[in-house]
Amino acid sequence: MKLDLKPAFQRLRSLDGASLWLLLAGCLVAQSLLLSLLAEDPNQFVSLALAWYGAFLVCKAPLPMASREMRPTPLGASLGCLLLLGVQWRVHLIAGDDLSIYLLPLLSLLGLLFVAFPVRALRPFLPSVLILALLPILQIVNFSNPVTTFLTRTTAAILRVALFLLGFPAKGSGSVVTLYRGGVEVWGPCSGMESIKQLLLIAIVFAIAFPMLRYWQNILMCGVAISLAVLINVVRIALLLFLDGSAIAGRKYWFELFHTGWPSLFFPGLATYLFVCLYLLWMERQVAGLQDS
Amino acid sequence: MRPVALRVVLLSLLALSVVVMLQKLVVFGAPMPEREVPASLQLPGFRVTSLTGLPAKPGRDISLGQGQHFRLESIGNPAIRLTLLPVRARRQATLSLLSVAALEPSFVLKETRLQLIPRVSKADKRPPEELRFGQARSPQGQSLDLLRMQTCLVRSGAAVVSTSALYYESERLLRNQLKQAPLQAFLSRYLGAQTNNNRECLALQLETDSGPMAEQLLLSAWTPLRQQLAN
Repeated sequence: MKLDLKPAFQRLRSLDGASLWLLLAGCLVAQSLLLSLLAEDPNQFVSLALAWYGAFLVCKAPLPMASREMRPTPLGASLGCLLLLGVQWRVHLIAGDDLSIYLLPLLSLLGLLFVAFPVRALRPFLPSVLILALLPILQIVNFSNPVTTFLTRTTAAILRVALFLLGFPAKGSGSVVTLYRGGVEVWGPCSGMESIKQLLLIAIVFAIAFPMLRYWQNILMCGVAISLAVLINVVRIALLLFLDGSAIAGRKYWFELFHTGWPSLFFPGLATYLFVCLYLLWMERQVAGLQDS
Repeated sequence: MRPVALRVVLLSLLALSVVVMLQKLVVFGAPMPEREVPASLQLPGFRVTSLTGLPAKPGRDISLGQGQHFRLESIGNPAIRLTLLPVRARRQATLSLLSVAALEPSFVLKETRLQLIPRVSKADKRPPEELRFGQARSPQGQSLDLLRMQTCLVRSGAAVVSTSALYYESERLLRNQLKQAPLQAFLSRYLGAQTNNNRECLALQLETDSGPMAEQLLLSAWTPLRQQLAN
């Protein structure tokens, strides 16, 4: 069978500016997700996918836009081109897990906006820019030693107290928890930072896309998101602790699987489900209250 | 900007993005290690001879740099064969001695066991050194007639084997680098001037004929070797 690409190229050439812009945006999103999938752990890929989806959800501009609205200034278009060329050059350099994977989505979106729209038309896209800007900000927080030290010690302390209350002889100090023959040090992927990042992203996307009646209620839900992520992570660490101390065959394999593998995503997934349920429940009550009044 | 010019710009950027994405999909592999194996070694109590080198092997998940075999001889003991092999992984989860053995057959072990050597100083809070011992068959042998000892030396100087310990050391190293000059470190990493070279270690294997004193012999060579390679 002969593959004939001519009609596809003709169709591509006949597309108007708005459709081409959307195609380029889709290609950049796919590129960013592919890079994360190739170079990083599943948890980080999910965070990036959530950020892209959130950026799309909070965008207040009608998509696809009409081609007549795409009238960039020469300066803006040049800046956008430079940004997108810079992104492609940086993507070309990536050869493993790389900090820039979190900054490139923001630069890609800025490049896409500048290349196609005048500055005065960018207002509806600001929430999307904010969501993607959270990725490098949260990443810098992730590398802040006081934050991670506090997080790891708090997680370990909650786990020790919970196990003690359930009647298990858990011991340890600082970020270390031991039980029977096994023990874990809450560190790296165990700190739950990636879960916090994911739930916080969801809370902020919800706050922009489906805001509560009062401003403080959304801030409270951000706090709930962080607490929920920490608590569910404690459950995950407890499972790892029991696995490490158990005598089951292939316990090291199961440990690594729930430590950094795809099954470890079950726990942030559960936290997300609980958070969404809580958010919807509170919103329903607010809507019911409004209808009553 | 005129609509025709905008369409040309968008089409060109689209073509470039597709090409870069396809290129990543096809040739995405682990970078080559930055660390190089020393050409010669001087170990007190041993006469060291450089043997053949091992060719570099680029791979998708893990890349091996140019390795080197050495022969260590001491009076009254069987000779030890030392292999040094720089290793670099694409991401942390793939950095392990098992991945090295999958690419380099001379690192395959059977009946393995892990030995932890605690730190000498109580002030040293780092985790204990990890050494992996196991049996192997010599090229002409019919049974498991060789004893091998393996570990991986990370940039901080720690000797680790398990994936968790490698992760711990690698993250500790990255955090220390970022703590020393945060703005400069983040900027250089974002711009691509500095790469994540903490996903790298020097795989090391000591090998001798199996016997009652074989383990002691390997450990006696390991102590001065560790000192030299850590510096």
